Amino acid sequence: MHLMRLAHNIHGLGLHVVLMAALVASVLAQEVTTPVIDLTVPPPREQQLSAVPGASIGGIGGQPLPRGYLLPLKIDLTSIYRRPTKLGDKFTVEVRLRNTSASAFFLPTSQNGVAVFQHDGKGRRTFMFSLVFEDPRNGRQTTSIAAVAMGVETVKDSLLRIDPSKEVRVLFNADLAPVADWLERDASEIQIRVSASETTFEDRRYFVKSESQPIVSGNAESIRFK
Amino acid sequence: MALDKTFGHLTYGCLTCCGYTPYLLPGTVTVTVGGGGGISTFGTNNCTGQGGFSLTTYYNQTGRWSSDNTGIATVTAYHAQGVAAGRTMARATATIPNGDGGVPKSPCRKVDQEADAPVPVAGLSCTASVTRGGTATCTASGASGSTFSNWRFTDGSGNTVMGSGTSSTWSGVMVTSGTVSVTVTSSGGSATPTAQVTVTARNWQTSPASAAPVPNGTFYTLPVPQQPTGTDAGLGEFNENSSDPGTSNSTIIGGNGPNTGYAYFATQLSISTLFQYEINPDLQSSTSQFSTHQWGACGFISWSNLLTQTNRHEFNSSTQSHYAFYTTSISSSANNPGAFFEQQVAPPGADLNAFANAARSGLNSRYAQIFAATSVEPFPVNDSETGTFLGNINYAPYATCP
Repeated sequence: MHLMRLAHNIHGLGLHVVLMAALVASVLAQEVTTPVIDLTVPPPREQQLSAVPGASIGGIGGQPLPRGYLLPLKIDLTSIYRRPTKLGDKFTVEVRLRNTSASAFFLPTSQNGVAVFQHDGKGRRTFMFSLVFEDPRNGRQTTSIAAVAMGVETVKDSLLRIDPSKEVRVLFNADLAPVADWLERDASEIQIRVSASETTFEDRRYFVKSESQPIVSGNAESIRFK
Repeated sequence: MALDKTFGHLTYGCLTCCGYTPYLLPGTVTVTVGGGGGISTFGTNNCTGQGGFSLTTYYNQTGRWSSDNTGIATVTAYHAQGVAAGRTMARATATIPNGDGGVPKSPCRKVDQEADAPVPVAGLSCTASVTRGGTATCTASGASGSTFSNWRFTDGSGNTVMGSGTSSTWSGVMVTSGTVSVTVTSSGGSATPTAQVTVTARNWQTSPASAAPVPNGTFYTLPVPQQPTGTDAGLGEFNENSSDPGTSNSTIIGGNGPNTGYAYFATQLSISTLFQYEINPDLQSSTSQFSTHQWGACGFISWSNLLTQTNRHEFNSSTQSHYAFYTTSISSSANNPGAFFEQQVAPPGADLNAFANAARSGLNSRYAQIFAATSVEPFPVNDSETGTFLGNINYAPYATCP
């Protein structure tokens, strides 16, 4: 009887191991198949476009400004690597973007701004990843652009197709400079969420045509400082 | 048996007097201008040659401290304070047991003994204030023969720039405020003086546009004859807009200065801002059907009051007009787009794609905020500037008034 129970337990243990292995394999397989856009390495200087695009904003009294188009994406903050402990620390942020629409979304992925914008053309877009910093103690909040990707159909591989319900992982670097004054004064904890938005440009000049509404992660990471 | 009451020795026979030779630690008291350094007093046993005996007891009781040149450094008890770059000597005298054991006696005779230590003072002075894009120079100084290394700039966000030079000066274009430091080494020690450089803004403030009257239909068609439409009773309307054509690339500071590698905008952005208003032509005409039926009685506002207050509502008030809200908003430091653009700076190694887009995003949010503030409704067109109701507006079909 005792031996039988032991055999049964071993059998159960084996089943658990198999199930866990299958789960891990499944997760790993998903990780492997999920495309990763790595924006942590700055592009060479000669590919960086530091020109500021033009824009015009205003209107007639009583008429609200256009709210911006909706992005068919959901963003989640996956993790923050090398959690910062002080001002000046750089850290890496990983986010997931999921296409929540029924049609494919083409995500700008190029860091070569010069290549994307050097010629006039249709469909030139900039996709911005921002961090939303919030001090939970007093509710103050600030948003800062941390990384930018650009894309246009005429530049090969500058757009990544995301099929409906599919995801991409995006990595980018950031720092605490946007909240330097909070940290110097009194902040002991900061919550970080991620945000993304897109800007489209006119065909014939480097001028903003339209902007999306930002999407913001529902989840946040909290960082405490001593 | 003899008891040394001073040091607590109990010995047989005669006591041997072993006094101390005082010395100061550190052996070289290196300080910075305006900074201080501690000094400790020790003694070497004259019989054994062993050092490390604290002489604080004697210096607390009888110590006298001085500096050879108080213009270089002042010296007080256990402390040297830098005044100006150079070198002086710290001297500390106290009444200390003296004797080398050669002559037995008890107790040791106390005599005034002096210890001294050089005090090199290192200084650093920088251009205290420089307009963004201007050149600042930092000059380090120290005792004769000093060497200079580890030039470093640190901004308020913790970004650093290291200078490779060993000159006593470090200069370059500055675009962000911060602290400069340098290691000044002279024989016997080194110090790291610091100095602050404050970068001030260029005057790139965006000024509000003048309120410009334009004919009806220029940007919006007010109904003629009047109808109570729109937010301003169909009598007036405003149009506010901020725009810019963008810029060419930002400038990255080269060379080997405190702000090398930082990026900034060297050229002012051409920001256009516009405020236009329309007044309904029927209201402007004293002889129109609409105007002649604003009775100024029977509960109705007078025509002259209505015209005055419509002008006031759109532009002609420094407190209660769309134009007043516009000028207040654009002039505020939080919203002024030119001032915001002026202060955009990226640290070394930053992704300039993100830098440029952040500048764009910041400008856009200010443009939107200015429009939102302008759109806030002042007191209505049939109120006074202080919010007093002046009467109803008589729209067609017109009510009569005897």
